[in-house]
Amino acid sequence: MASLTFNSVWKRYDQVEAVKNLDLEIQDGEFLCLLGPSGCGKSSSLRMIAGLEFISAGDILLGGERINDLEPRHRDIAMVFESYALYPQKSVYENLANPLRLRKLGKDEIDRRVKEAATTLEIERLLERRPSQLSGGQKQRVAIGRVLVREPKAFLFDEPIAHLDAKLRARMRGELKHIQKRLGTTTVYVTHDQLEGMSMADRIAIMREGVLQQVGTPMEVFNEPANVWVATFVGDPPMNVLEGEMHGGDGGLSVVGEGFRLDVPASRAGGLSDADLSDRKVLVGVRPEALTLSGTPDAAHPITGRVYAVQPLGDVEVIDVRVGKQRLLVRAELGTVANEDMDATVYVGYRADKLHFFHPGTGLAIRSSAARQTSVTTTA
Amino acid sequence: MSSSVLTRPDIDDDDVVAGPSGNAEDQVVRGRGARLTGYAISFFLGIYALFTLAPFFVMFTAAFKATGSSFDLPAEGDWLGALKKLFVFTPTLEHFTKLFSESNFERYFLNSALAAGGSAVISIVLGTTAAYAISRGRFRGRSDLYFWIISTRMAPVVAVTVPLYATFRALGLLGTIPGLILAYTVFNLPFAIWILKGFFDSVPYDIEEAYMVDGHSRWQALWKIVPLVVPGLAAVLVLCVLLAWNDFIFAAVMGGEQAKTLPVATQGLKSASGIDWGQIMAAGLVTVAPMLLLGIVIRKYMVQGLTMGAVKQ
Amino acid sequence: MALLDRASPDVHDVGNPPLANRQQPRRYLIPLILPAVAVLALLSIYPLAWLIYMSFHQVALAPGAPDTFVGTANWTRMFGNPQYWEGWRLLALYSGVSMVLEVGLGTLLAVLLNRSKHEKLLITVFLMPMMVAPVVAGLLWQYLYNGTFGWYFWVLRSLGLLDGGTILGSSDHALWAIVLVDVWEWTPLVALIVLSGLKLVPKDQMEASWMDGAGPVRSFFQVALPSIKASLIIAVLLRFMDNIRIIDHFIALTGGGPANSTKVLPLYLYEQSFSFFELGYGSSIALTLLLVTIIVGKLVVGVFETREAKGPMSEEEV
Repeated sequence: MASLTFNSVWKRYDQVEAVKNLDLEIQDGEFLCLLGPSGCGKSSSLRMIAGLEFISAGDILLGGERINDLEPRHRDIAMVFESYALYPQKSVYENLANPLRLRKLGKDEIDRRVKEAATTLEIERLLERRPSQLSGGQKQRVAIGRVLVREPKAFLFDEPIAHLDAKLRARMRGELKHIQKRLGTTTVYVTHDQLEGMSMADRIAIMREGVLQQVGTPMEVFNEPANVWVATFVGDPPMNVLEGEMHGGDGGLSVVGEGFRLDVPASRAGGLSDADLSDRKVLVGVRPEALTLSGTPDAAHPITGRVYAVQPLGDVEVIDVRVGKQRLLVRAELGTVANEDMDATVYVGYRADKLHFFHPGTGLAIRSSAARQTSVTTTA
Repeated sequence: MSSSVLTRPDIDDDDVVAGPSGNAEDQVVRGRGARLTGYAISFFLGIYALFTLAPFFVMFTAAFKATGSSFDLPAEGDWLGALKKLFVFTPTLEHFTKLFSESNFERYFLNSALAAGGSAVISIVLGTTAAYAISRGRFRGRSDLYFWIISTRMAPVVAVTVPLYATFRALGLLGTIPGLILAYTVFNLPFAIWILKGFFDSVPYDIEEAYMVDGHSRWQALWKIVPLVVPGLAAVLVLCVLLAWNDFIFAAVMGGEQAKTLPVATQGLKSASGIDWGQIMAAGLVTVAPMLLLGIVIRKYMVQGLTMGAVKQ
Repeated sequence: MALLDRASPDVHDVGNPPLANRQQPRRYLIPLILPAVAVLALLSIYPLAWLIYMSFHQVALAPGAPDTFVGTANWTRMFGNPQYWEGWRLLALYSGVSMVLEVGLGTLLAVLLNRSKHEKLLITVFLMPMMVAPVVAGLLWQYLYNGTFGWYFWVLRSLGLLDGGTILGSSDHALWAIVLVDVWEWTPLVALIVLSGLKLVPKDQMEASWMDGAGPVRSFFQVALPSIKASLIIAVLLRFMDNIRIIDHFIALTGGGPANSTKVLPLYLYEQSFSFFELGYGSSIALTLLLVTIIVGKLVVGVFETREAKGPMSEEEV
């Protein structure tokens, strides 16, 4: 086990820069999730740790040692591939034993470790089968088994459960987290699914177009997104963002747009008036669960909109509300709005302490004081 | 509102890395010995390329050397003299003029072209429809039929020649170009079916179904997917021409003097009293050059065609 | 844990449908095959019938003259003839040796080409011999081997590798000289087939094997070789069949000599049929050659079908 460090790492292909100046420190024993949409550079970053991709510039340190020039086989790192990459001509047992045989372990030791991993993953019955005789979920377990039998310095996961069905994914999230916590092995986990990051990782590193956007615990990333892009990427349904204009008044600052007027809490007013906002435009973010609906206008529901669609989700429902030309998703108790209410006028209330403010030009979050915003973010 | 900051990104299943992919070894970090290994690889490949090219060089130079002293070998072990002999000579076209003025090579060239081209066209036309039907059909006996077709291609040329000779003799096809075209179709047609079936197999039936759902008839749908197999058609065309052009046995047995092709004519130069190697090498060059050009110009289809049967996606 | 994941019981047992409606397989496609089948039948089944007929006859030389039925005379003559069996032996020796060389060298070339920066250029170079008409290749090499004018002869002599006599004039050397021509012309084909197989080696499996700790050699044997195995088998069988099919090299280089030391069976058949016009006797030989080829051909198609049939798996979960 060891820590992992990216020092100003770049990855260039012929024309494209896949990873730009990545600085990242992964603690010993930590479960770090590299999260981002397709093409954001997360896989390239992972493969540079593995040694499968050449590091164009910068260094990667494993346990304090520079590993840039080490071949993959000498890095002592294990990896689970998105496609599982099982050896089709070998039995499950031989797939698991392969890394151990290459390390010239004794026959008994190999057998012990393979059986142990098989027990952990509940695949004892499958040891004699070939990969072609396994289902997707079983293959995935074997792929995990192949890294479990080793005691490497780090685990790498490249979208390991992306191809499983939803039910199995939910179960595997729990199992992977349990196994990682029990073994305490440093783990880097690449995914495009924010739910996986939120539910499993100690910390999440969010990337976009090769640039690291924010690193933090799931709660930090969720509650204090560094910019509007992170804010809308994390959380499901995603955060609402309204564009409005700032107005000062006797009661303090407020943000005004077609169909709404939001009062800015006093605690946030300082940061907002310090921010360099041209045309007084500002983006306001609020999560669907921080909104409430009412059929009658009152002071607690200052946003006026029309029902566009209702999506019942079993226990709750998500209501799509159009406010002027803008769009709000509201999460509410099941039955708050019926299908027949389409186009009906509704009034939306919000929790003032759950408002987020972003700079419309840069997308960066505007915090309570201007000083704070630079400390957590990297410029895009 | 600046949309670039706000748009929620589309999320795909696979995180496609821009840049070179395919060969896993392109990017991987290599150990210290890698450079040395690289040199060793280049060295070996260079030697093999030399082994491949040397005969061509000898053929090419011999075709332009005047008959006589330039064909003597230097004394054994005289490597310097050998280099001089190989490279220093006055090129002459005498062999080529003789081929075309005295030996009728323009006739043979035409015969070769007609036989190869004719058989390639017939094979493509009949092969495309048959390959499509075998690829899409689900009727009984389909695989037996397929095997029978393939096996005709694999039949030993000599073994087929015997009965074909007798058959053609009865039909009066001996010594005619149509006879040769038919004979070449024996191995070109199964070959075309074999390769084109692979191409049709790789075109999902969904595409035709989509056309049919859109309101096209079956035959229109078939016509619509033909562009998708054009690379296959090109590969087949090239290889059919190549196989027929290069054939010796069929042409020797059944072509006679009337339908003599280049390979037969070239071999025929040998049996004359005393062997004029300059003459033979020039004839060889005339035979080989069109196919070499074909191979180099449409290398991609050539490689595809040659390996197609063996490797399917 | 497994309790939670039991497959849900069949809620709706709908019973068996009566299957009253017959599905039409795609029979409408059959007409498309007919022209090809007709041509091939004309050119293969009809001659095959004639081949069988002739093998029991003394075939008359003049067209129209009646053939004489001779029973199994052609067959007994063939099986009793040492030259026939020697033809098989030489064919096996020739095919075996050239195949081992071509497959070994071809695989090596493919692996190296796959790692070379000049892959495209080199493939063009390696394509060239395959474009050469085999009979011309034979003539070219006959020239190279020639005892008076031949450069390869001169090189071998100068290196002291050849004492006395010419290459093709020696019963000891002639067959190997033809093997070399075959290697020159067809090794690149094996290399191309293996190379295109190598391109299909799953990248992720290769990487997984590196992560497991395998070096280049080990990962080749562990991942690449199993996945190009089928390509290799195909290459071997294709070469084997071509060695039976094509005798142009022999005709150009030696014509079977010296002292019948290169008279492989197809060449013997060619000579009997078209030099001596023993068409009946030739037919018996041709039939045995055909039989062996069909057996080998069945193997080729078999390899294809097992690969295509590699089916899906059970979808039950752990």
